[in-house]
Amino acid sequence: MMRLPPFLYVSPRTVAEAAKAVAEAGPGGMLVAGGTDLYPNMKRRQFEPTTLVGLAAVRELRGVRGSAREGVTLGATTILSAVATHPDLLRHYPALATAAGLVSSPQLRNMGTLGGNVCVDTRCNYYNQPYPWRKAVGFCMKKDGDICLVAPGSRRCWAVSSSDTAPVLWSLGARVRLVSASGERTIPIDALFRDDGIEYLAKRPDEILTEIVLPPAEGWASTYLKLRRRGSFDFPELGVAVALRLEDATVAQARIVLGAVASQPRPATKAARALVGQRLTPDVIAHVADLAAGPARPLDNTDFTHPYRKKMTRVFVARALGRLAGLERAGRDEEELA
Amino acid sequence: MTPQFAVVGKSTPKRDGVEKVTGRTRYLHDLALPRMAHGRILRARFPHARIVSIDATRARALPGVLVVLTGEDVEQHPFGFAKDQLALKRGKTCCIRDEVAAVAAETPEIAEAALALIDVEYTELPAVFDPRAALAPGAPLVHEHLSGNLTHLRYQFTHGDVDGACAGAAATVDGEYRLNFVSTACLGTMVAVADWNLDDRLTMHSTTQVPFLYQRDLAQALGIGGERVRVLQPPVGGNFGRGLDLYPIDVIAALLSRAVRRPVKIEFDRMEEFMAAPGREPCVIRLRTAASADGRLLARDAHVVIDNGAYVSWGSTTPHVMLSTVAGLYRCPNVRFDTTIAYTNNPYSGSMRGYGNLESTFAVESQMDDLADRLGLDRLEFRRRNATKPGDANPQGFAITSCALGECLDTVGEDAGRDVPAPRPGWKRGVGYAGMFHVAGGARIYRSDGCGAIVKLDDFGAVSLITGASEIGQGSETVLAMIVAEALGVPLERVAVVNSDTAVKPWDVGAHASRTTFIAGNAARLAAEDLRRRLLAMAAAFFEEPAERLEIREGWVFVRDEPQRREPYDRIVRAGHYRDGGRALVAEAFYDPPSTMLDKDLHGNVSAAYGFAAQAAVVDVDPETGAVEVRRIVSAHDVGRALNPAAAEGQIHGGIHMGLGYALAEKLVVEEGHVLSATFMDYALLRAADMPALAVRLIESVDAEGPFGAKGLGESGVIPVSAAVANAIHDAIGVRFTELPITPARVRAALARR
Ligand SMILES: Cc1cc2nc3c(=O)[nH]c(=O)nc-3n(C[C@H](O)[C@H](O)[C@H](O)COP(=O)(O)OP(=O)(O)OC[C@H]3O[C@@H](n4cnc5c(N)ncnc54)[C@H](O)[C@@H]3O)c2cc1C
Ligand code: SF4
Repeated sequence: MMRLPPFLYVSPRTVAEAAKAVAEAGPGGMLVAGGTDLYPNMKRRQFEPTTLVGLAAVRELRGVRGSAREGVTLGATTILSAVATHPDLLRHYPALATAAGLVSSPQLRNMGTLGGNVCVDTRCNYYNQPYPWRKAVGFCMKKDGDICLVAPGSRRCWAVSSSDTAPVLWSLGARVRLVSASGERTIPIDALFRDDGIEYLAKRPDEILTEIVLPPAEGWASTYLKLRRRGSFDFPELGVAVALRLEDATVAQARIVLGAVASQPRPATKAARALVGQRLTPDVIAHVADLAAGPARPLDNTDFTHPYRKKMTRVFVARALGRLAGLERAGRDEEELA
Repeated sequence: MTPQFAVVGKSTPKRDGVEKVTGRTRYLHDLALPRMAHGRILRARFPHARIVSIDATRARALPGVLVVLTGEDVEQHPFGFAKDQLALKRGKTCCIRDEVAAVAAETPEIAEAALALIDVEYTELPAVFDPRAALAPGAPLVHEHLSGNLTHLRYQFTHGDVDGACAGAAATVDGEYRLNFVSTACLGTMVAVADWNLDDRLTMHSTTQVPFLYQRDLAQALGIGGERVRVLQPPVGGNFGRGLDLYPIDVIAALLSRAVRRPVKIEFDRMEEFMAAPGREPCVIRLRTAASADGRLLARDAHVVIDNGAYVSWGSTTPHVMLSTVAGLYRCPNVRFDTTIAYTNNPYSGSMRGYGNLESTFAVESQMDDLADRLGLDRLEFRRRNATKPGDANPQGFAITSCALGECLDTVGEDAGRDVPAPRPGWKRGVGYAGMFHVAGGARIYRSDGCGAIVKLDDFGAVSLITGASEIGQGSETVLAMIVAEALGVPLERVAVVNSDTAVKPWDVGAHASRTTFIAGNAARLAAEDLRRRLLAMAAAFFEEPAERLEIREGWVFVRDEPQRREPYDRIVRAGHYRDGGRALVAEAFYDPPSTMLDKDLHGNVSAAYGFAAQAAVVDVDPETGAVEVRRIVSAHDVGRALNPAAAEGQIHGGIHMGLGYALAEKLVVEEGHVLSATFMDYALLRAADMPALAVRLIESVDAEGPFGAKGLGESGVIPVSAAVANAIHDAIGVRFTELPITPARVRAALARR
């Protein structure tokens, strides 16, 4: 039966109150924003917090400020549908608006927040299952067990980072502000993640992600492509985020970040470097796409087989670059692969 | 000249529609009876294991637990198609679904918690998960009292000289087609409420679609007389064939209720539904088709291997229908058919909409295209040349009466490419066709294929049709009310349908084989016509005119040629009732169609009418990713007469959705006997946004036996879809897929291999 276990819910009004509440809740405490990730996970007993600190009533966490020229700051509990339809984001940070608009389904985008999306739990076919299912196949180390069912013998968990917006924010050079009862810090988003399926965030559990800060967008072009089984509802099987700064049609700066291929977003650094100083010709694109498929090392723990996902990495990177180059035949935002 | 109808032929909203879309329908899941307890089932830990011991001490001690039952605690009797299972298993488990113990408790939560406190000790046994491997010497025995794993089911048929015909053929094609487990994925999971009262009578609230067979089978499994069982059928949240058999959930609910003398409800959660609800059977079809140089089919030779799973249910009887297609989809003079159906330690399959016909049509229609290509013929023209015609008798002896297959093929041929935007750059377009042949006037698989109907007309002019038919969401209440209104000459809104209580309604086989509109419709029509005669007799006394001079139309009884002499029909009823020697109006009919059961050689005329259809699929394939996008489906159906055209279209739309899922996305992943895809995240049901443009064409051949000319169509939409899509993909990229679902990874891999 998929029922929520009992827990205490506290609803602070300010970030300071929230920080105090998580600190007081101790190891049994967790933050919840939209709950679209956490509540289903709790029903499956993937998390069993005793206290939830809800961020829904913390007004200061919601909203989008700033401009493309000086940079944009997004409150962590801004809902995904607001991100997806925000005119400035659509114009100047199109990859972010696109990625937010491709998360799950309209209902979930109206509840799910950007901060929750950045912090969304890693996924694995052996883990995202009802409790009795996991019990039947034998628990794994991510929850309730001590081995890995995908890679037996492995000492770490390979669950997959499945956020749509995280690779985009990484490619845009975003920074995140973390606030706790004992202080605050702002770090580049790439320092928020760790390549570990269990400890996938480098923040302490009592740190609240309050803001996501985007650098100025001037001169940058960005795009995001998503591979999934069906045209909505499904998590990414692969996400390709590309951000480029062009000078006279030549690439001056480039970032390519892949989603859903590892336990954290994975930058394709070599490929991005190979773009710098080049024009986006079909030859260059093909070469860079080959390089980008290198770091994609997907495991067989999502819906598509890993050889397929790896092949698709090349195709999707080429399409993303083709789209930024204004080439025809550059695919859609998503490929609906039923 | 087409007859003028007042009600029939006009699109009419389904009676359950508004309540359903506004969330007001009270499904069986919503039913709560006073003092109702909640049951849960403990299932096998291993697909094949000896049960060494069950210790329920801790569970029984949990406050709120009323009873824990195991197979050893209760008297029970084998049930199922082969009487090969007990509801609560004894001694060993044969598949992961197996019911090892059951709990009744005050709340579902307590029942669930109690399951975890039942200690079962198992010894794992070697298991077998493939029907071929199950037949190898030395394979583990699923049922030890049987000498092997072969079931007693075998469907063997021959007609003509297949080998001779193949030897003389200009072209033959051979292939092996592999079909996987899929789930009905009903929104409403399996559920039962049993209420065993102090008189030792059992009332079952059930989602069955065969209430009278269920009544009999359930009584037998419990060792009581059928007269002690009453079956109530509240609204159903989907069935698609799932409700055709009796399952352990029903028997266990009854056993628990008997033990605690309180109503007991068992309701599956979604994971349990994927695991324990029967779906479509996995099978491998080996097929050979031969044709002459001028494009005439000469022979088909088929062998089907079915993974029966641990117990026999309806999934293993689908060769009945597979054979009908091999022998009857297009004219084919020589036919051979055989099956191998073996027990394994996998879950077992039930009947599911289309019932074997999706599987065989996929094989047969794939080969129609391959043969046309081999012969250098146009694919549609090849089909037209072989199309079944009215008056045909097919190799099994099916007598084809109304038949518009040729027209269906022409229609989809003309319509296929219309209004489809050009493919995106780089994508490849293909068009594929498939025909369809299915029973459409009942299917005599029991001695009786009948249905009873009672029509009652009261003083207020309210008409009640009490029918044996079961409404499972398909729209039967609506269409049966339309038939009665039409036959009586009263407004549709005056007709109510009563159809959900075996203590009240007359007998019916059940909702299967696309038979309800045809069989229950004819019964309703006969009863309504009888009632009309009685009403006219009353009116004759009232008007002092001979009944022959009277008519009923739109609720008025009037004298022909003197329309000013008229009375509302309910006034006539009252006048006939409240007088000396007064009478009330009730009429009754039982309709059993003119068909025969198949004999042991599978010859006979199993249905009183046959349905035909053709579909065209327009698909685009992205060679780089392997993505397949279906752009448009045109579906032309010979429906006899469309009694409720919108409902007919709706059935076909739903069928196409189910067929596209089967073709492209749905697969219940079963590995080593375990069901791995147990959530809607893993089981990729297509969503609204995945649906292509649909065009349905209803072709009216007006069947002489059907009610107002109608034939059954409940399954015809789903049947040809996967074949049409596979043919379209072949047309687009030249790759022939012989296994479903055709996923992007498989398309891409196939293209890379070339
Ligand atoms: C059917 C379904 C489909 C989905 N499809 C997708 C998809 O396609 N792509 C995708 O990316 N996601 C998908 N999701 C996951 C989820 O809906 C989104 O990621 C959503 O953005 C999560 O946001 P939330 O506010 O609901 O997070 P919550 O569920 O509230 O929280 C998620 C996690 O983040 C933590 N958290 C939340 N906010 C903060 C904060 N401000 N500071 C620190 N920690 C925080 C929580 O403690 C929790 O661990 C899907 C979910 C479902 C149920
Ligand atoms: S990768 Fe291994 S440890 Fe991690 S969730 Fe999957 S099975 Fe468990």
